[in-house]
Amino acid sequence: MGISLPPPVHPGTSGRAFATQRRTPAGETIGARLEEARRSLLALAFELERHLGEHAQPLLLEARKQLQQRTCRIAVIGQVKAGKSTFINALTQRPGLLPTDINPWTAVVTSLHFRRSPNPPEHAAVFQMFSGDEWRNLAEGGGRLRELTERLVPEFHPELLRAQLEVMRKRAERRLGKSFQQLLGTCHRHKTITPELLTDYISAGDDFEDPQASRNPRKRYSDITRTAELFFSDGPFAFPVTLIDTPGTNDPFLVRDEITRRSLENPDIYVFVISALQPLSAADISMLRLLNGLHKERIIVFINRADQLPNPVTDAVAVRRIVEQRLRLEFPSLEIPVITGSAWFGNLSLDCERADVRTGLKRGQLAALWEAGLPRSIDATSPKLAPADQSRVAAALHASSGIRAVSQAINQLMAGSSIAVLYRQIGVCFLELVRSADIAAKAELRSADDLLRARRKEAQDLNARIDEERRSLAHFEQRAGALQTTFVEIEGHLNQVVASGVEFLGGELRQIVRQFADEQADELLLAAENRTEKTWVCNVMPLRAQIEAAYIAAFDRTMADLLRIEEFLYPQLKVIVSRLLPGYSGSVLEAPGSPDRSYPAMSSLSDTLAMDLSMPWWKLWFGTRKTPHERADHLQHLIESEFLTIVDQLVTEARSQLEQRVASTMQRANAISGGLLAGIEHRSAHLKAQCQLLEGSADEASLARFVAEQEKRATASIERQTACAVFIEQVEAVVRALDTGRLGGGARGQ
Amino acid sequence: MARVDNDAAILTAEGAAPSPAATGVVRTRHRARARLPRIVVMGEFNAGKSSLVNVLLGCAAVPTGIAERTTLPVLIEHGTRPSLTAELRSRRRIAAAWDQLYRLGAHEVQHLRLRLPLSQLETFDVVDTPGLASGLDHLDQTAARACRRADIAVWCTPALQAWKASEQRAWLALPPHLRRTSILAVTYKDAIDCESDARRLMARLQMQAGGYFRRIVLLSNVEAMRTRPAPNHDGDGGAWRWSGGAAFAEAMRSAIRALAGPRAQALTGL
Repeated sequence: MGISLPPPVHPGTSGRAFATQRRTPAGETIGARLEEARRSLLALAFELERHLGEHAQPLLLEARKQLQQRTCRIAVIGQVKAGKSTFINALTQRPGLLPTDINPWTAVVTSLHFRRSPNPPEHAAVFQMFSGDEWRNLAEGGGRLRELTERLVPEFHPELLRAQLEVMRKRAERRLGKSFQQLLGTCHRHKTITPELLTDYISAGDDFEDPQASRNPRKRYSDITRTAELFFSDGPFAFPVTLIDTPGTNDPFLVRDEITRRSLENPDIYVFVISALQPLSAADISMLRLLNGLHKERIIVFINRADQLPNPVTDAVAVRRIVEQRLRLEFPSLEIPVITGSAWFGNLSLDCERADVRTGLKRGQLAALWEAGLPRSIDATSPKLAPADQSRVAAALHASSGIRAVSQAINQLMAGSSIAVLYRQIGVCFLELVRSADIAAKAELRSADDLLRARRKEAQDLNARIDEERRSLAHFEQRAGALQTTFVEIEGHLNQVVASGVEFLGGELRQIVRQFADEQADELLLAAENRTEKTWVCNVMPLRAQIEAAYIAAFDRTMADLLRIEEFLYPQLKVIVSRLLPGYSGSVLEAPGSPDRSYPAMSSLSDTLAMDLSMPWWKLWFGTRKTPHERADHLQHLIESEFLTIVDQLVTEARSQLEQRVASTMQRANAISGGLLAGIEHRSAHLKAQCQLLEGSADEASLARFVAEQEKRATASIERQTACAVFIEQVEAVVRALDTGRLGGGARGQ
Repeated sequence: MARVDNDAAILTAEGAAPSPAATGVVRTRHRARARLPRIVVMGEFNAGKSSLVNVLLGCAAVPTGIAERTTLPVLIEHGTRPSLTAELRSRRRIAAAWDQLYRLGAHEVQHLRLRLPLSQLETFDVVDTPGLASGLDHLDQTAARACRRADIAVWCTPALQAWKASEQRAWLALPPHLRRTSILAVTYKDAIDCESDARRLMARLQMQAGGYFRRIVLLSNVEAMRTRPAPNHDGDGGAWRWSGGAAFAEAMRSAIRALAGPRAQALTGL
């Protein structure tokens, strides 16, 4: 083989390593399949970078960036005190890592980055404080929440929120000193993670003075911490993963609720933790509806705290059945895995030598361990356990914790996540690049062959042949110039489609909102006439659904238009290919198609609106406006102003998504045509050299040199072609693996 | 039909029911045109409302359990013989049995009426309500209706997920006068590991909800039921106190007394 492989990117991996499964210890295989695809693609990217010309570099660089930086984001969400932090401690096998407490305790969205690497991360923990502006906005304004409540019911709720914000400000002052504002905007980095450190930055802490607690001399920054990032070089994940711990929703401390809502946008997978004691409450369901509205379908429901059910064994089954039924009813099109378990058990299984905790196990909890295979002869509550028995207790605790089942579910969802889709796109893109290089090499070989054959005949023939080649090249260059102009035109056309599509979208959505506002105002007046006003509620869910449907329809329509125009690109590329290599069949560019359900972010649709507030607020609202007409007018205004803002956000989002799509399509097409044109340039450079050679003097020595030159060219082309064949085979293997992973559920390390 | 062992009613067991005079007035008035003070037990689903009703009455009056969701309000009042009837929207009453409730068309029935020969029911009625926030809107509305005529509300919240925003919202939507008479019962005390956790939980609740209730009490329904004193016996005083049953009984007595005073005065025109 003519190319030399660069040294493997990671020890023990090369392009070929994908074929063999990496052996990893049990329980460490989450995302193993995706990780193999990642490493293979990354190794290929490095090889291709050496092998392909200038034109491919931007694309390869972009691909490499994605492969190196994109992590799988797994958000752990749920109501206050559902046990999210405890669950993360159990899943990552680090009992006691994230601080937990009897009161809502997680105040800061905390990202835990897991990346296998031989080198420890530079910093173990990085905490970013709010900037001065953010803090002022939060502490003095209360953000959107206050805006909403004030608009609907002046004087009621803001009091509550303002009081809480005041508490927060005072608390920050008490904890950090009067000059705490100087800390704003700073970033604190630490080399090691300790429980005290995390408590200082993440835990809410008590809002009240606990008379019996010792005065804590440590500074607590959690009030002003915006983000917490923790870095680990080992963990239960084979693939780079970011686990996100969130403050619970439904917290009477409203500020935290607001912070959490903002962190729901990006994740690839959601682990939704609910309590077995109050499974799937109204707040849980509205949260799931919100995710469903965002088209976030990779959700795992973990029913935590099963150990606290009166009869953990039988009740857990009943609770799970209730939850599954409810989910099927509510989300018939979603397959949401439901897993019952106990994060507390999970932590205890890792800390089994702690006899003080073990001895407190209750009857029902012991029954759960027996159910999980612990022989009844072993007394799990005994303060002294033989090591062998201790490990059997640990195994039973782990089995009934549900952590293993959650790991498997995560593994399965990862294999079908948007990352797998992205990797497939990268693989296909590599294929196209290599194919175009292959075609260029083939054409080069042909031209060398032709020249040689002509040389062997006669010098005159050679001259004629060179002339012909020159003409063909000139023709081709002209053609290529025209092509470039065409590409520019197509790009312009694509952008025009985007602009008009977006305009149409905006118009349509605004129309829907105005009509809805009119109807609601009419209904309110009608209710006033019929004296049914008291029970009248403005339900904006249908409006949301309508906007969403119209949005998706319009987006799809524009996307289809784009696809139709993009199809013009491919024949153009075919033209270059046929010029270069008459008789070549097959396509260089795979039609990108639309990756399934990649709609732009619709989180703004799920923004809490004034209209979402419950009945009692409406009553108050009614109270503040005298006549039915005043109410109707105000309602109409309220709906329009709230929703038109949302529509604007949606339109902006759609525009940027579509423009991005156009840019990346053009980048691909340009790279491929660039690859082909580079081949032509190569040929024309050669040709010039040959002409000079021949025009000078056709002595024997220079002719021999000419022949040697052509032969070298031919050999190099053959080598390039062979290398391309190998690349094609490798990339196709990765793409195939990703496809089966998506279709056939890629759970591997069972 | 519920088992009624009319032995240990926590309110009368310790001999601190409202004074006979006040009771007498209320009672007479009740016959004439008024009614007894009404205690409504409410909260989100699986918060231990039905268990708390049983603690309040000192007997297994209503069925409890994780799968036993209360879907109809149960009005519990005094009767010479135990009986359970379903009151339909048409005002018709039909006999009912706990294990046959599924036979009743849920939308036909307005509420259940449970009559028990318990002496403490001569001084107050109790209403057990369907849990809020179960995600079924009609249950939320039923529960809200049931507390419309409440004099005292007992809001149940489970210790490990106590006082969520949804609870606060629902509570603040109820008539404000209830805030002066009502009790926040924090249930499942047994699920808390240590005393300091219990103390800190109560400190937070006092801060977040203290202004909305007359009293906040932490108790374990199971333990209170197990250790409640038999009539005319002191029972296991320490365990009864630990269970929170003692504090809950005291809070209820004081709430009723506070209510009986102004009410009796209003009714008799004194």
